[in-house]
Amino acid sequence: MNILVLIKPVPDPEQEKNIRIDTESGRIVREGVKHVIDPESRNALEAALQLAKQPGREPGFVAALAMAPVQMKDKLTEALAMGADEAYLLSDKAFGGADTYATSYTLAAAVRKIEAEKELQFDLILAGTSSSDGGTSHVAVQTAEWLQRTHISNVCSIQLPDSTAGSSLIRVIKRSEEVMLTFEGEGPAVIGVTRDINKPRLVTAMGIIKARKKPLTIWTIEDLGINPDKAGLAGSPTKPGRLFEPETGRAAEEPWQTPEEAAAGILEIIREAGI
Amino acid sequence: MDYHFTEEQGLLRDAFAQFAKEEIAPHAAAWDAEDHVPMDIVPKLGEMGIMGVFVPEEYGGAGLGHIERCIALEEIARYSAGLAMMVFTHHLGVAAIVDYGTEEQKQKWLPGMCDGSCVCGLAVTEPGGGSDVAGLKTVAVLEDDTWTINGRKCFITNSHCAGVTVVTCRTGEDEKGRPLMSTIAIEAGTEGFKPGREENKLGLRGSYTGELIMDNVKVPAGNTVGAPGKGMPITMKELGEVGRASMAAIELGILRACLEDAVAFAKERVLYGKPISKLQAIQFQIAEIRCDYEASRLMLYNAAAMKDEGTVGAEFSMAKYFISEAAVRSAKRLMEIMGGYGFVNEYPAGRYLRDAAGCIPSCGTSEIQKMIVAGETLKKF
Amino acid sequence: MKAEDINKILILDQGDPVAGQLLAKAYAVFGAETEYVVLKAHKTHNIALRMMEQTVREENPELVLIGATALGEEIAPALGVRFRTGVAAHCVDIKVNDEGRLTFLIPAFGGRVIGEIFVPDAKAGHPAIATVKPGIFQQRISLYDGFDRTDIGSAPSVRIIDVDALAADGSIPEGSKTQGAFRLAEITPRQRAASDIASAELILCGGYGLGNEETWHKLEALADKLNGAAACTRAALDAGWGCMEDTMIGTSGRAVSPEIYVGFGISGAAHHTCGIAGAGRIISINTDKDAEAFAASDYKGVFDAEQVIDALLDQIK
Repeated sequence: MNILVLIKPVPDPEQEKNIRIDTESGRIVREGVKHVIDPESRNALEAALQLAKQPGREPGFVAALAMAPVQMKDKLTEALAMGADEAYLLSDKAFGGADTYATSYTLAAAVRKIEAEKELQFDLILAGTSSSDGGTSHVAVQTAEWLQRTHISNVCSIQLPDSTAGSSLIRVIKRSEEVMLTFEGEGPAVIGVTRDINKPRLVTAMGIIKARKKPLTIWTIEDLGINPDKAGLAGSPTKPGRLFEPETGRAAEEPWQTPEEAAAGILEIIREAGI
Repeated sequence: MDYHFTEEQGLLRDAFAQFAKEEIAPHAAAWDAEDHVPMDIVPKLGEMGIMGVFVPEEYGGAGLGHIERCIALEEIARYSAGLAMMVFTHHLGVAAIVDYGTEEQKQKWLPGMCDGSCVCGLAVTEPGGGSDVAGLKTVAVLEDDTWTINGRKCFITNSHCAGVTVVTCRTGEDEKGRPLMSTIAIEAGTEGFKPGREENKLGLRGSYTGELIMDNVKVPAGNTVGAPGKGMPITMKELGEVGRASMAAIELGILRACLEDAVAFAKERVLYGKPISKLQAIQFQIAEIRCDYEASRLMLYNAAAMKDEGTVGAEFSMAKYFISEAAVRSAKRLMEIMGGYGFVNEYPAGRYLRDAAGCIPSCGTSEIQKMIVAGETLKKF
Repeated sequence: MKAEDINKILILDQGDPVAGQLLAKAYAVFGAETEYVVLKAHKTHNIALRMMEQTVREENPELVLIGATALGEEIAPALGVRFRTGVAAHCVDIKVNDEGRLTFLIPAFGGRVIGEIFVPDAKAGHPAIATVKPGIFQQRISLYDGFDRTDIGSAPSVRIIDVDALAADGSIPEGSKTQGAFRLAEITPRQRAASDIASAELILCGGYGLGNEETWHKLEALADKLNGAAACTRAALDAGWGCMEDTMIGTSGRAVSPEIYVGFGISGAAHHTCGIAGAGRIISINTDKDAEAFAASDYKGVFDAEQVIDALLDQIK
């Protein structure tokens, strides 16, 4: 089973409270904010490594793919150190400002190029369902649409249930609000995973050494052969406006002196509301 | 000259830091309180590549250098200096085998030492003295290709868990009557070789520190690590370059813990209607800790880089002396910042102080370090 | 796209209240001159996506609104690519700005930041598409039982397209038992919380500041005694105290608008305030006097959550 994983470098979600907007330019201040591989991308990579390298099966290979500024190259190295076999970074000024439509278009072009070069089709493309910065849940679905492949998101389990040699049957469990849906089929497909699908492995010292010998390829817009008006801000049907920190407009009165007074006050408010 | 970590070293540090946060931080206080040695974490350290971080890949190690080794120790010690003591002592013995062992010895012992199935130890100190290495009394006599070893070692880390211990023994005299030593590896379970009393320490708890008893222990001549008679230079080199570096890295980890905890506490603790981080007196304390940390960091990683290049001299002695004293004063500053909270065992300030003080006598006291530094300085300047 | 260019709005009804919320909002913003079409499609992905695509082609709306449920989150972006148009995800508001442009407001960085999004080239044939989580818009027009909110003004004219793929007994039609190349093999109901937070008038929400599992269980017991619902934040859920995922509130969780909301030990990262912006009255209890939650609260108490919970349990005896 050969798998491609979409990786997204994002500002460290644990440092969310340090995100600031520059009031003059109205843009997010990214300098000095540490970037990491988005948590759900890590889950996707872990799932890919487990599926492609399952004992008792012919080992497949895992490729990591990201569209990001070139300073994020170390996130691809990290993916290699985790165990991916190859990594691809799409980096070009022309990709800047892309919304999910342009991003997925660009990623799909890269997938086609990798598949053409390797003369194969990936059985699965895995990604996080939703990223911690944008949180749209679009990219996995839209990449699948550009590639005209099946997509399933919110997947909390992926298994290869058939242990007969050469079988590529995949069983996937998708979580929706009221039910768990179990799907079965063979690739190719694009699957968006959730945080609870697995616990991603840590990078080890041996992984870092092995990563040195693995290929990390950087492609520009020219390498992909995409028209500049299909990429980046130019290729984005959504355009951003102003950014602001949300106003909440509530009074924040502080009427109580002790926990007991607070409890009494809360009960009073509840009674008044007639609950 | 580049004072920044490479991309790879940065990745490694983040990986080790994450491991320490998940596997060590939640348990460190309990390990200290109960003096519990967490042997179950050793295979995980093996998997991470920490146990054999500087061992060549062909023997199962990660094939990295001493900067990476110090990074690992700093990250572990930031949460548990006690566990870091186990790891550094293991590295001491492993280094002796890597630097001086025969091919046969390396093939036999290194793979297990790298994957965490065999913890290593190095035994030098005796009841008769630690600083006075030349005066040690453990004796090994060679006859028919077999060493017979008699003696006692004390204050030995990993005494009760090492699978292989490299023991410094007196094995003869040179033509001037001065003692000659050899470093001989003894496997746990060898008849006559056993750990004795276990010390109940003030700090660096959660690691075994105890006696080793050698009572007519017989081991093959093939267990000699390095050439016979060369035990003194081998011991001094490993203690000097790997031992002192480790202590410096561990003290650096403790220092960083003091820094991070001081900042966190100062921002949270509210007095006079605002966090104490707004008060100049507290700010000055924090600035002092910070400067101590940054200077220490540079000294340690500079020395480690020199070792990886093969040019290190007294730099580790300088680093160990400076950082251990800085860690002790930073721990005391933390206790002052925390006031009463610094004195209750629910908070770690006391543990940091105990641990920092405990590192000073290991691998050469501050006085020994100063002697070494003075000697080198007087020659060089 | 200017609001005045919007003649027809298509809304997807997946069988839960969000379609009524979307209709109420759309009507409040665009008024009676706009035509409203609702596609009532089965909850299974494959049918709903195909039917939406077909309906968009037939109806040519300028704007498509879809609830951001697990299903909606897959349909909306797919339609975005099929119709070569932009999709605004998880909107917290839809409005017309000073220049008369259709403006979507979406959260980023867990809700810490709100951004404006426009779809400038949207038009019939390439509609702007937006998803909104259930509960973000509190006003609701009940689609099938008559209109129950008179403050909307005169009732909008709504045309409902009922996909005849729906079987009368609610079972899944044969044609929808696939999702692309995958076959639906099994459906199992999920373990859900005892009371649904979406309809609760009183919600007690626990955050990481509860400190431990015991305090979480006390909060659950308290909610039960007060006839309210217990909810949690992402941090509390991840702590493994046994919170149920469908009671998690936040940008990656659910949005609620109870009459009274009491938050215990929640630091108030903005994603949480995005999830409860519609609540009647918000009370926050946290030991950190600088907790962001306080800025978004009507009443605040700088106390230990457990102490207040204990006091409440004590006082209601």
